[in-house]
Amino acid sequence: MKTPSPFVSSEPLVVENLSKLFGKRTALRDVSFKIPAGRVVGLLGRNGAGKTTLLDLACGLLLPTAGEIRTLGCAARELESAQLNRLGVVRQEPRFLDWMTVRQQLEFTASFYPHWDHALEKRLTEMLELDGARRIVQLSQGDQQKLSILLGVCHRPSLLLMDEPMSALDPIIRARMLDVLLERLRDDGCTVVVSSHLLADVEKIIDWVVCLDAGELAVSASFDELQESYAEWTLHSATGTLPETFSETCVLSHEGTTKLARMRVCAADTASEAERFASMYRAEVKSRALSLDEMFPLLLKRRERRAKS
Amino acid sequence: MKAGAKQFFVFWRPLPLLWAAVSLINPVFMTCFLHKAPESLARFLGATMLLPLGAGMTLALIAGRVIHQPAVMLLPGARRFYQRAFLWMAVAVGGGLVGFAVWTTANALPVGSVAALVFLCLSVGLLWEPLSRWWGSTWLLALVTLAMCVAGIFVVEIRELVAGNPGWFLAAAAAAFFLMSRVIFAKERVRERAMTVMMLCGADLKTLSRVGLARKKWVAQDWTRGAVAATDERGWLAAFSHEWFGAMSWPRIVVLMLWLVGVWAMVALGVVASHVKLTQQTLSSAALSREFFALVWSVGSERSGVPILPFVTCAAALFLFPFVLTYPRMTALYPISRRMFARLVMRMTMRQTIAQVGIVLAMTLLVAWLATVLAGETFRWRASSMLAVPLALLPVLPWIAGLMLPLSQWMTNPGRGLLTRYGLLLAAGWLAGLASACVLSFFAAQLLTWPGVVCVVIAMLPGWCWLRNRVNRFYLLSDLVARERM
Repeated sequence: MKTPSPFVSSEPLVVENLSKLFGKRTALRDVSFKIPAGRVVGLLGRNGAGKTTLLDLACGLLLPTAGEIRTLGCAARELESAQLNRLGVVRQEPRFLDWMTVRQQLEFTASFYPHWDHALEKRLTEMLELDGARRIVQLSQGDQQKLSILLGVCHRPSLLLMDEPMSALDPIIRARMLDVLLERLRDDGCTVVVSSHLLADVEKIIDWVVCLDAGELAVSASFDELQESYAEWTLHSATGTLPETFSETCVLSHEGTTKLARMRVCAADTASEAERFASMYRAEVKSRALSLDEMFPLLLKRRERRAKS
Repeated sequence: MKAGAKQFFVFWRPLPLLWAAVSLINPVFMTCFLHKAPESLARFLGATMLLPLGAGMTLALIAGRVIHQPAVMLLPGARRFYQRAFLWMAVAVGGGLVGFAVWTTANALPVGSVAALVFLCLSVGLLWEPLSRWWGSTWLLALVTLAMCVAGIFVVEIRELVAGNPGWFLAAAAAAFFLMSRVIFAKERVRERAMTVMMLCGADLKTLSRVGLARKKWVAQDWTRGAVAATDERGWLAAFSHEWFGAMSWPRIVVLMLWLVGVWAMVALGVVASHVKLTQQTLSSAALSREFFALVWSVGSERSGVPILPFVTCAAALFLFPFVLTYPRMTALYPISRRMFARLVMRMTMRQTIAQVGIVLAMTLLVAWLATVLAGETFRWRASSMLAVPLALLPVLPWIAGLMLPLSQWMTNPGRGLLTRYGLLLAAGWLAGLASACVLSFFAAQLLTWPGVVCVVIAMLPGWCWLRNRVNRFYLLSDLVARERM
């Protein structure tokens, strides 16, 4: 059964000047961004950056100290059945009614959703190799994560929030999970926010990046845009005219000698900037696109520089 | 099956079922127990009127367990569904109670006293769990509990309570009360004990995790790291508030206190009731209440010139005081004691071990001697002295065990520990506990009958378990900290 979402908000997640304090500790400080519908958003950040807090705020499990977060067009603190029906949540530490079996938990959860996709549930149960007869309390962490994902997607949400959904999954299941997510995107145009440290995996599906650093927003931009802005250059100068340090603001890190230098750069137009470097230093410039794994520290570094300046 | 029914009946687990069974069986059993057999259909029906109460409480418990879960809170309509269900259950419970109270009072049926007290036990025991978990309605639940307790007290028919041998009933009620509360905590306790033992044997967190004992909540976040951070950063007060107010909300503290007071109230009633013999008389409820309190007040005066009720109350209050001190003590001491525990737990010398065992033995002998002398010379005993001495010792022993920690600290860090404000607080609490326990044990001994003995023994068990738990936690926490820092 495939029932399309009743409507898709143009911006299913809107964060405005959001702050969250736990006692005196600041988890999020003045964070603002909007996520366009139909995107797969990678929510990145180091441990303690505020990713889980942000996702908990987005689904109304926490209340903001200041600012606002709107989920599916409604203030997250006031999410009603209409919004919850279209919201899927996969939490980092899934908590179930652990005295149930997998089957009972699925039936229980399904009973709350008018558009639960039983066919998808069956297919995913098989694909993820989940045993419906097992009690949840006996499941391994990986299996619990699988169940959590299953419960999060089978009602075909239009916004899916996933907090470290794949950290305990083996590579094979992880690959299958990515397929499932891609399929959901293709079929329903679901917006997915996925927080993960497995950047190599996430990179395959995301098209938008939100990066948090110490509770503050470092970046919110499309992944394509970031890939165009960040690059690794290898400069080769036959005459050895390369300087020991590069003072250009676009250079985020570099290493090498006067003949050969490797640097990571960030610029609005990396192609023309590369040409400028080539003529300035009379060197051959080879550019390589960065993976998300390589880009991530640069995103944080760039924010640090901005904060300092 | 309709979705709503599925949402309700899908919740099952052995504990609520057990409680439901107890709710069903208890009144019938108690009726038969006290009156040999149900003498009439009316009496039997009176007993079975507890069914909706028990069932309502069980359902409330289930709802309470369920609704707090994030997994449920995010389900569309679930919050409202369970809130509504819970309110209906509360109405059913309250209505059932009122109806029952009116019916038994109007008919002056003896089952009333039984039912009221059983219900009292059930209510607090059952509500403990949802209260601790479902924050949204804790105050409502606390109020319901309080109302039920008050109603229960009024429903009690005094002549039934004091006639025959109601001490047995109270002993049974106290046992049920205690057992229920222990059942709730049993799993945690077993895990905690096993974990502590393994840690003391040198297992690390990885090993504990592998055998399924290390609990993230404890080891990683809740009380371990939270307490460590709180105490390191903000000192004793923060640690105190972390333990009391971080881990426990005010409603939970209130119910905890109700629970303790409930246990002690039952013990006091058991002791008194097992002593007092009254002829059955028919009086109005108000007159009965007056009579009861006058009676309780005067009990003991005839014998020793000391009214029992105020003494027992004071003793109970004093007994609670050190419990309150237990939490801050555990967290307050460990920043100083992590060095101590590095030595004590991991490198304790033979001399230290022998000294500690010696202290405990010496204190035990001292209190035993005091109890024997005082009890033997001051009070008349109704049982053999062989029974009286251990009975008198029972309330005192937890305090002797409690003395181990500061003394150990003092031994390994001479000049510190006992002389700090934590040490002084602990010493004050300890002395208050010891004094109150002694007072209580002497009164219990004075009024000694078999039901009285059972009551006192049962009443001591929570104190024992609690103290041991706290000691275990202290050791565990200190050990974790010691390992982390070394």
